[in-house]
Amino acid sequence: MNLLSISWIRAALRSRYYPAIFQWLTAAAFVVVVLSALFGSNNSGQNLGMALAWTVWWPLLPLSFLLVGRFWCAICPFAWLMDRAQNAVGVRLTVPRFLRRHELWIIATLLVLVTYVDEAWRLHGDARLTGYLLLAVLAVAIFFAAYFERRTFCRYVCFIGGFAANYSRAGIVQLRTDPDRCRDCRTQDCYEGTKSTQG
Amino acid sequence: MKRISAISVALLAGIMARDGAALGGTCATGAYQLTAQLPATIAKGKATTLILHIVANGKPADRVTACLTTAALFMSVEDAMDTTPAGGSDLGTGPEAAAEQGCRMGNAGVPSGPGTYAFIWEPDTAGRVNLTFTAGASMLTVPVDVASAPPSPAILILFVLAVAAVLSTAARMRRRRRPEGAVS
Repeated sequence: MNLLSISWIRAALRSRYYPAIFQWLTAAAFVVVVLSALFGSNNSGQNLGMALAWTVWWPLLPLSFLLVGRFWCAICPFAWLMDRAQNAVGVRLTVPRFLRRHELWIIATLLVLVTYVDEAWRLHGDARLTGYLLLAVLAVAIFFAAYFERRTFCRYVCFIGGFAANYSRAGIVQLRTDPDRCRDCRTQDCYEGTKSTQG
Repeated sequence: MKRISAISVALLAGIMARDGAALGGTCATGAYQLTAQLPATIAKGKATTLILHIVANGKPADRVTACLTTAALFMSVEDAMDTTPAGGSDLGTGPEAAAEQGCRMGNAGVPSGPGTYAFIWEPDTAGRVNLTFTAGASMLTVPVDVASAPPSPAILILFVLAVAAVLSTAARMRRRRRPEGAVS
């Protein structure tokens, strides 16, 4: 079933407010989570940010991959913040060969590392450590956005993205191309982007 | 700044034989008056010294084994023989002193003056926690509020500096690359 054949879904996805409105919401939630984790109660049970991050977002994330594919990547607050940083100061260097060659290993290693740190240091029970982890990931994301083209961080480094890429294969919603259109396409706007829209 | 948080008096009656063994042969008898002296603020993850004053018959009681146990609201007591923090209460930074004779379910205070015993307590949970001091059969329970530890200023400063350095360096690189692109 082609969801884009449903008029209101097509209109919503073509709206100038998509995905911005979702990104604003997730960015606002991200700010709340970070501030709450850093300055709120250190008891995870009494911390709104911890509840949002570990009790709401984290369990829902794999479920979202199955239900709506990689929708999370479209509305991820990191992507929104990276776009802002890239527009402001982006150097847009090409992606280093090392990242392109070893992306799977990098993502898998980071996923294992973060999972280990979570288990070993009980991150989900410590608001401050959760806050530090989010700051660290944010700093790395800003680094990649500032120096490298497009969404290098999302594509080659983000362990959530790698996680999403794997699990969303089983998702009931997928983004597919129209082979007839792609065959005759010369501009590849969907990948390269246009003056008004990013690829 | 310190405050006297609570005073409790308990009577020892008819249980001296058991106490004698538990106290390691001390000869304190009669009622102990326990007074806990706690810091105004106790923060999670920060080692804190708690002072317990023990008086018997109006005189400081020495050679008494004083014990401390902690109990958060959701738990009754921690098995201090286990050095792994259980249920959110860590009774010390190193191996638990509970292995000492007389404190089977808590850690022992270190005598630090006439009738004065010091406990090192490093809370690993925030919120309301009950501290229970015991000497013989005398018991003093003091509810304390453990504050959350503030975020590390060093980590926050490091984050701000790292992001500022990345953004400023990238901006400088971009300004340099633009004229080159224009010439070519």
